[in-house]
Amino acid sequence: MLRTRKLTALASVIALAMAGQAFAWEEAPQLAQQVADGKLPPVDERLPTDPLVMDVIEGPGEYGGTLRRAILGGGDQHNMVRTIGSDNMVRWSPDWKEVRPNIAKSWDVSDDASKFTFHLREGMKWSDGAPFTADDILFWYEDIFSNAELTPNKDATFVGPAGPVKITKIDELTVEFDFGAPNGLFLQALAYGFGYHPTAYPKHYLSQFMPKYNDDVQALVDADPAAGNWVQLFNLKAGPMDTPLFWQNPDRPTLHAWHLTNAYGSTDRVVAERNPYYYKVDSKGQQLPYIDRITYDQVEDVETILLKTFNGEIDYMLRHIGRPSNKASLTDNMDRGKYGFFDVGDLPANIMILMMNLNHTDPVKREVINNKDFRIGVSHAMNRQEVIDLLYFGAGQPAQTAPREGSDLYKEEYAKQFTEYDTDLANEYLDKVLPEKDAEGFRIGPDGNRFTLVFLMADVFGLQYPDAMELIAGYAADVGLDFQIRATDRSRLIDLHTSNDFDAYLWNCSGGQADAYTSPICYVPTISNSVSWARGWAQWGIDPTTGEEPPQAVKDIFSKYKDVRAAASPEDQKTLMIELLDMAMEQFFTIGMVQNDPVFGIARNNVRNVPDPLPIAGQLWFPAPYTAQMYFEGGANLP
Amino acid sequence: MTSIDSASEVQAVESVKTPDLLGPWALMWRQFRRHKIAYFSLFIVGFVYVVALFGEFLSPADHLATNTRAPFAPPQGIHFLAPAEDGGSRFILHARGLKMEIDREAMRRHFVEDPEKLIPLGFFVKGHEYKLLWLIPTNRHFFGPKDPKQKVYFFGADRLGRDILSRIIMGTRISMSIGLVGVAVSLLVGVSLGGISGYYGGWIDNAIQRLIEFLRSIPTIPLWMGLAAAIPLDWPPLRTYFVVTLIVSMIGWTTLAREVRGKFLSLRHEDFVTAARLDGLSDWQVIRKHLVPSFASHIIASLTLAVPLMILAETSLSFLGIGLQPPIVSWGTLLKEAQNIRTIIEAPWLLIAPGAVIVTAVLALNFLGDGLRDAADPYAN
Amino acid sequence: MGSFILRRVLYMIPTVFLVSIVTFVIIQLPPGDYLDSLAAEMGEAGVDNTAVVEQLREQYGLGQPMYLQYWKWMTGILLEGDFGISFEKNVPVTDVIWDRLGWTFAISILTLIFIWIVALPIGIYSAVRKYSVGDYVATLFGFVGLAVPNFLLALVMMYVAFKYFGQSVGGLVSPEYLDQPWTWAKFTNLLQHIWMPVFVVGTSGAAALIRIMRANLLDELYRPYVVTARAKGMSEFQLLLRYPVRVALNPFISTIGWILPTLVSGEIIVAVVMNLPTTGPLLLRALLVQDMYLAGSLILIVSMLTVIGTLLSDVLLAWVDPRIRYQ
Repeated sequence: MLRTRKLTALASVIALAMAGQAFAWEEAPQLAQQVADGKLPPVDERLPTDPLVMDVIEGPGEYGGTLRRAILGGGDQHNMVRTIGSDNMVRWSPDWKEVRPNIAKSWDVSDDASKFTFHLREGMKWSDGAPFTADDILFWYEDIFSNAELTPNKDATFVGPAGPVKITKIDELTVEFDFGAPNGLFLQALAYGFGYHPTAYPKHYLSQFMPKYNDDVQALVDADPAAGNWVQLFNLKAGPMDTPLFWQNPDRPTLHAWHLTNAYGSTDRVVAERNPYYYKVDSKGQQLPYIDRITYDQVEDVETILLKTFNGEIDYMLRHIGRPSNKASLTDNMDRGKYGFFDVGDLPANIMILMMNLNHTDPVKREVINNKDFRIGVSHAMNRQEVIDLLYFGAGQPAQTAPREGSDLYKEEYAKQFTEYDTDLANEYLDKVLPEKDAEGFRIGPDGNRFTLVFLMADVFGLQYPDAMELIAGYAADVGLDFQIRATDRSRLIDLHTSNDFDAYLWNCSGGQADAYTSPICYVPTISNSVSWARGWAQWGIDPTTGEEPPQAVKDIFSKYKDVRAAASPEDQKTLMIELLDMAMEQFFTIGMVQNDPVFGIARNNVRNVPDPLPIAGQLWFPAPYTAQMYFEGGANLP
Repeated sequence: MTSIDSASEVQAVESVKTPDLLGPWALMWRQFRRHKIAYFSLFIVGFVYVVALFGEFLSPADHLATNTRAPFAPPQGIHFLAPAEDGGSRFILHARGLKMEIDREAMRRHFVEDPEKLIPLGFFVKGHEYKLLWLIPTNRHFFGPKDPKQKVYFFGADRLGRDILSRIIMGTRISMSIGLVGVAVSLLVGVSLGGISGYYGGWIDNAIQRLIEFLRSIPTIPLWMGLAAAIPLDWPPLRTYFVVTLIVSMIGWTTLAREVRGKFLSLRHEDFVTAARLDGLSDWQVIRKHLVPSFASHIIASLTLAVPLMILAETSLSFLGIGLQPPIVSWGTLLKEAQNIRTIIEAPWLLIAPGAVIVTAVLALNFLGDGLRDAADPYAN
Repeated sequence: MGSFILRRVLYMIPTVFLVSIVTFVIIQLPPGDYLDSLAAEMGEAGVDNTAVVEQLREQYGLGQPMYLQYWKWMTGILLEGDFGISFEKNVPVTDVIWDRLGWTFAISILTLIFIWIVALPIGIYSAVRKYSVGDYVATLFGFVGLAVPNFLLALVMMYVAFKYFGQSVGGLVSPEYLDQPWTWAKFTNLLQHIWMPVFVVGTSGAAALIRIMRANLLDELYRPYVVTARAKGMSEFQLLLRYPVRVALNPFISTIGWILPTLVSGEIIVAVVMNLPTTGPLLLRALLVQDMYLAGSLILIVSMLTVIGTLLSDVLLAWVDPRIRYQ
């Protein structure tokens, strides 16, 4: 089933050369009909003068078909974000190795990496046909990003070491992003998901919801029952992409390959139709996307998605079903559903981490958890191989929270330290910290009571955390540690750990590959919704008047990360990042359990140009920039 | 018609044998025993509670012990005859060992029975240590492999290689006690409120009736979810379990209160009650000495019928992922774990075994309650 | 009769009022709020976006104290028929629920009919032929129906339909009919799907009713008036239908009162497993993410309908059986 990516570099060069000349662009028959009917301008007028020629995975495709998917009734907006939404100024290459042009035709970077100048495509248009220019980016910058009411907290992508970005318009097609200080990681960050902001706010549509541009905005507010003032109205119409709001307003023009016609949430089926103004073509001059529309049938239960897949009612899917536990039943029904598997490189720093609260409010627990010997002891007590064999069918390696093998930052000692399963060694370390035991054989804390850690656990990621936690508690009991399990729903878990009201919990962590630079949340204390192991230190790191002053070693890590962000060249970034990792690994903040093998997705047998392997990550919202070049062989869905 | 005749004949014959006056309980018992299925169910229910009481002794393995060699191991049969060295067969109680083969591509384990490998089974064998009835430390188990190092899965194993039979046995204790405790709470609240309501009537009755109506008009699942989610997470599992039981019992008492009220309403103007009251008995004495005994049998029947409702309610709570905390195992949590397509395809026994046990227990309890109700009915022949 | 109805209607008002308060408190009992759920969802998607969560805190007025939120909600409902906004869907609650309530009603009514059709004859038979083989079979069927958890039945039936009948599973129509206007073909397709939830939801209800029918009928069958009628030479069948069955029918009328809450609440899980477009999954989801106005409004409406249904069945009962009126 593996399809290798063919290098189409030569083809792209030729196509680019041709693109400069007058070129007869081709379009989907569906659109040609609309042009003939006079409903659409001709394709040459819809495309920019210099469209992006996509380097397709296998080869140029054919038009037609509906990409059928399933979506959960609520909270599943990432389903659309990752198939349609992520299509930014710049994009990552399909192998997540380098940043390439996307909406921006090209860019220049100042020598100290503090100024970034982007060149836009002439004649590029929003999905409703209105022109997209530097003014739209300025509109976002001046009226949204810089407006404290609309943006009380600025997204980290656009905040450099010296503060928020300053954007100036050079001309209609040129904008300059100035951070005032070196910000060497900016291009990477812009290529990740949250880089969507500058190109997601069409001025011609959204300005009507602002009092600055529309004196009569109150009339619009009154007309919308869900809004009480213009700010609320604006949020409804221009919601962030990773919330349901974005996908509930089909009127908002986008630069995406498909735009919504049925909104998310209130209908049985979300539908996105081809954007006739999409700015990408293939090497044959055919305008992308190939596939006519994407549909997301709303279901309530993941089990239904599985059954639909068996039945051949799903064309391309990795979300919700691509877990080791489903592999056997999916394999059984391959012939019936006419689909095959592709590899998904969903490879975080660790998929199962014991996050213990280093800033615990209880002095006794805090003292013990902060003792590195305690954490080493716990780590040696864990039978990681058994967890992997039982839960993931052996598809993983015992490892700490660390960069993965194959990434530039990988070092074996990061991943393997203290992962050896050895209860004697574990007891040796634990005896240094908690030598006394009670009548039932459980270790006693410094205060004379049994030392108990309550682990919060939610059944998330489809990773069988409830089972894992039972195993972990068992291993802990073997060395005299009382780990209590509290199953809860994820929002309560988040509520508890973000308010620093927890002993420990089980979660995963990004930063296993290139995202270690931009998302080092398990190496540097960070304020985050998903990961907390030293929230007080993290607060101090943002503002030293708040939170809790960390020890010198952690302060050094903070300042090292500042250096990483300021480094202009990739070589310097890497050197500094490795220094940072050396320091973080020495601290041994979190206890990692497992680094998983690649997971999988399914594509029906005639879906072509499927990226395989497909890298995804918390920040890397793939396959979105590459869905437009997928096509159905034969131009239609398999029966 | 004929059934009535023959029944009265039977009664006549029996009353000749026992000329002494039978108390109401003895009469009821006699009536009950004629309901064959109900009588049989009594033994099943009794058996289930014995299992709940002696869970550790009866379970062949530690219900929490995992085994990497046995995830999704199928149920193993018990065999009696094994080939002997002389070519014939010899009698030996045994199970056959399983060989595991791994298909990495499909991520599946296959198990093949190995007829060569005998695992001798026996009664009162040694196994993991526990405290019998929470008191006596021992390591004897009723039935299992003679060699404690061997593992046999009579009902198969779950995804972590844990013995399903042992898990069901240990779950019996939780599920059946949830039923009992829940019913006890229902009984207390239902009988007192229903009794007050029916005995005094007037505005008290009205208020209680409105309260019941109000509770019944709130959909139960939101109510449960709200209450269960409000349980503090730092509570130990046992306390959480107790609160879950209380939550579950909220459904039971309203029905009971209504029934009790109805009975009180119809009884309070009966002559014998009036007579007792004229005798100078206090309200409480009238209720305790005359009213309660006159419909106790009905209450017992209703309670028996309420137990299965509680068990099923706990199943629903477990399905929603609220309530019991691991490592506590109940039938509901077992069923929830098996409630997915993967299990139906790969390991149906995970669904069938606890499902069958739940259905059997609930059936038995229902038949028992039904029989009790029939037996307590003065109009039934 | 008139004063009876009036009295019952008056009783309804405090009940519904109380329900609204308790509902509002219950849905806010779990710690956290909708934005915590949103943050959790983002966290699970591997996306970390604290900025957005802060941005939206004002959007939904979540900082206000509970009594103020309740007051706003209640006055909105009473004065303008406005049930508030669904946080997750960002539209008025009323826009989301009517469609779903319609389906819930449709399935409720079908289930009701199913229950009656199954329970009435079996109940009568099993009472008249007490302890016969037929009675035992009916009892067994009834109790098995009660004993099998509904969601289990739902999943197994779905799998069987998928595996052996090749049916598209989940939902009430096949995917190709979603979003299509109503046609005969879509209607027949609906019929091919809808029997499954009706059966799954109906079995336990039917089982309960069979038991009640049997018990009530048994109570009546040996009453002196029946013996008298029989002695007068009335045919057995005529006798049965004219008196005891009529009296024993009362519980059937009572089903009108409880079928709706049962379907909405008890069958939430079934609706989730079978992917039905009813209020159940909507309510469950709303409760899980603390979409409080949506959850509150759904519970309130369902409770109100229950109270009305109970009233309706009580009035019917009083009309059918005059003895009840004077209690």
